[in-house]
Amino acid sequence: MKTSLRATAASCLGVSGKLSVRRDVFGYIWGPMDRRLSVKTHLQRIRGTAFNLCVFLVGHDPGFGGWFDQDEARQPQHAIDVMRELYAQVGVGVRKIYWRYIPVAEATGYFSLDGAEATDLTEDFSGPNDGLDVFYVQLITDAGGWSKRNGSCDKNKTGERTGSVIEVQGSNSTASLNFGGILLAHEVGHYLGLAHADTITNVMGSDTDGDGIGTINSTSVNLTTSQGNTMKGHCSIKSAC
Amino acid sequence: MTNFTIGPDNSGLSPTLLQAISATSLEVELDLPRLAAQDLADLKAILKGEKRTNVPISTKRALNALVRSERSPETRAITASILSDSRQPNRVRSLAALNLSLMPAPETERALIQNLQEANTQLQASVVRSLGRIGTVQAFEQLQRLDTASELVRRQVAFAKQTIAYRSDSSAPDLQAERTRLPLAQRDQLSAPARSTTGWATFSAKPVTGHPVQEKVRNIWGSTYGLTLNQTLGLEVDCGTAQHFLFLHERLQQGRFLAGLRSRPSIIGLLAPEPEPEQHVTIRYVLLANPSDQGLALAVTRTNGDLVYGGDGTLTRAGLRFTLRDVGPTLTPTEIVGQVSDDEIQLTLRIGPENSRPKRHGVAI
Repeated sequence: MKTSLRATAASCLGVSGKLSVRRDVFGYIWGPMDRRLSVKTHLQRIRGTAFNLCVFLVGHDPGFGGWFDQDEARQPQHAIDVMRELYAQVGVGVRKIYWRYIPVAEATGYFSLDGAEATDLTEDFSGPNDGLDVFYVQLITDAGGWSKRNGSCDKNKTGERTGSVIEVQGSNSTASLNFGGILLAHEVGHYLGLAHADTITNVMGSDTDGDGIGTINSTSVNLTTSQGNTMKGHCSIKSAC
Repeated sequence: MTNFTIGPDNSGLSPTLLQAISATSLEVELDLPRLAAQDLADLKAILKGEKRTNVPISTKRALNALVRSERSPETRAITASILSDSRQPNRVRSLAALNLSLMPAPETERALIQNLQEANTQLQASVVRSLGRIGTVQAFEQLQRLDTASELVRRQVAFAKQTIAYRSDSSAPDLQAERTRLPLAQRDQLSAPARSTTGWATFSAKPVTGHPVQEKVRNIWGSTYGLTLNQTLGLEVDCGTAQHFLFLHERLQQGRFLAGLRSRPSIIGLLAPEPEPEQHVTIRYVLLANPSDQGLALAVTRTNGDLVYGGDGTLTRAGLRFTLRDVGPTLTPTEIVGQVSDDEIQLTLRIGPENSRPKRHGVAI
């Protein structure tokens, strides 16, 4: 197991030497969380078909002097862990996590955003081309998150969102944190090519009243093989390592 | 496997209302169904604290459901009361401040002004932003006096004062001074020498008339900056990789385009990206015009106040010829040339083949 861990860290994550499993292998840098982590399962997931993620905290300053407090900074890693569990159903892993922040001084236009301003944010900022961008912001006025469907892998593409934009959850209860994971999986699912589904228990939600508008709730946790295949066909997906 | 099931619901709320306001549910897009009368009454009671539920409620979603369903004096009062309630999280109060800008009225302006001195800078910035969208000379005077060390608030104050000034008819010297400021703020950039546009792609804007314009106006979510929009004419603007729609000020009507444009400094239009299917329209750019003897200064800003395109126009026998170019935070080198007569608006975009600036990448942790 030890050999396998180090070999996987080196070949899949580019990490060698002394390493912290939680930080360097899982990519969780914001301290402990209320989730059981299985190293064995995680290694299996990241060795297979997977993608990398670049997570931005918009308006964060070191020492939590910005808009994020410690609990809010921890939310994305809880959400990522939930997303990893949901995507594992269809054999899609979330391999490497790049963490970045946009200091308050550079984020002054992005405290609250609507759909158009979410496009401005992704037009101004991007992470490494190696990973799919997710921006955590304080307030989205007109949705819980925004994402382009079947988004581009060219982050210099203009006129469309080149990442997902998600609002931090208002509560740190386990139910709320888990729902944040479903929301992340939903928005990233859009970016990976998924449309809204036709059942509320699917990660991509349902259209209960037939008005073309999708809804998700805390039971929206399933993915189908067909959805998995769509995700695996996206340009950001990496082959096994 | 994580247990994701939701607990039993004994709230007595209808499934529709529960779906609209639950903390562990989400309309993926904003377009919530408008609530029926009983649901709306229940929602108001919940937001007033008169009715309790045994399921977690998202006050943010509840506020959006309320304003989406009804924009009445009662809705305004409930929203204003949440803005003023210091027990509510600042994020919720910020949304209340921003939603108030969807219900312009003297009472709304008063409620916002009452919360202008908030210590939390994000909340204060939201109040300022909302005042910029609907405020009058009263709000302008308060913003003139606002003393803040926060760059976030300062930037919002600057933009709010400009939009109020461009909307206001007041001849007060401070407002007049503000009106001359915006398009001229970066005069050196606006008058930068023209670049070679060899190899650039060219797109022409197309006029759209009648019912489709009304439909788009109806689908706008968010503030229209106090503008009454032209419901019968707009322009489809193809930018190569994206489609936008230009909403015009009601004053710009066929037969008096040029006269409307040159009558006074004003916000002359709003530009919105064409939404993806199932999504609503949100405004991305604000267009300001400031007439002079020789022609017109033009500025296009983002909704956070960043100047994106700037330029000017010159009067000719045929009307007004103008040129705008990218001067701010847009990736694409762009030149917009056009001609306006009283009967016609012509607009052509030229888009450069390569991005004009790199993106920023934040700070690695």
